Amino acid sequence: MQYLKLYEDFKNLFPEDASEFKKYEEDSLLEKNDNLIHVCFEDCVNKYVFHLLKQNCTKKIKIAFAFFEKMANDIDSKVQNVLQVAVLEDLATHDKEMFKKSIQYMGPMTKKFVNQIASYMNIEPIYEAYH
Amino acid sequence: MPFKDSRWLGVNRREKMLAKAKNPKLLNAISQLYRPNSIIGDGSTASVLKFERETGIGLASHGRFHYDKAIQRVISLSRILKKEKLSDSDKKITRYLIKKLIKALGGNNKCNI
Repeated sequence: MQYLKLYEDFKNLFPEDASEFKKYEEDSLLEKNDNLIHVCFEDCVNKYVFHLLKQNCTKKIKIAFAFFEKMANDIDSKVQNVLQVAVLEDLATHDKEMFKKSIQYMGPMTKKFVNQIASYMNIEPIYEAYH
Repeated sequence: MPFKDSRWLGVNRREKMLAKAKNPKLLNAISQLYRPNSIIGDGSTASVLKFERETGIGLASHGRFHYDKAIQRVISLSRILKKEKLSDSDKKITRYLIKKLIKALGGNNKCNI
C-alpha cells in the first residue's frame, strides 16, 4: 500500500458514496490531493465507518475492515501508524457500543493493534486476539 | 500500562476543552486531539507525544510515534485559524492547541501564531 494514496484507495472502494466523502472533506477544510493522511482518516474515513456501523451496512463494513486488516499487515510502518493512531484509537474510544459491534469485523492483526492501544488507553483488550 | 511512573498520569481535559469551544471545525479537532480514554498528561496527542519523546517508549508502536498526526493537526488547525470566522475565545483555543503541539514536536512554542 502506498502511504500517500491510502485515502484515495479507501474512497475508491465506495465510488457510490463519493458525495459523502466530499462533504466530510469540506467540513474538515481538506484540499484536493491533500497529504494530511491522518486528518483524512480521522475526519472522513472514521466518520464514514461510524455511519456504516450505525446503519448496519454489513457488506460495506466488511470491505472497510478488510482494508484496515491490509493496513495492519503492510510492511510500511507509516501505513500501520495511520491505522493505530488515526483509525483504531478513535474507534476504540468514540462510542462503546459501536466499538463492540466493530470487533466482529476486525481481522486478527487489527485486533492485535487494538490491544496495543488498550495498553495505554483505558479500554478493555480483545481477549480472543491472544489465542 | 507501558509505564509505571505516575508523574505521566493526569486528568483528561477533553470535556473541559469541548465545553469552551464553539466553532464546529474546532470542536472536531479537539475531539480528535483529546481521546476520551487517554490518561497520559491531559489526555491530548501533545501529552502522548511528549511522553513518547521523553521516554523513548512508542505508544504508537508502529512508525514515528504520534509525530505524523501532531504535524498534520498543526496544519489543519492553522487552516481553521485562517479560513474560519472564529470568536476571540476560539482563536485563543486554536492558538493554544497549535503551540502545545509544536512544543510537543520539539519546536519553539514561542512562535508567532
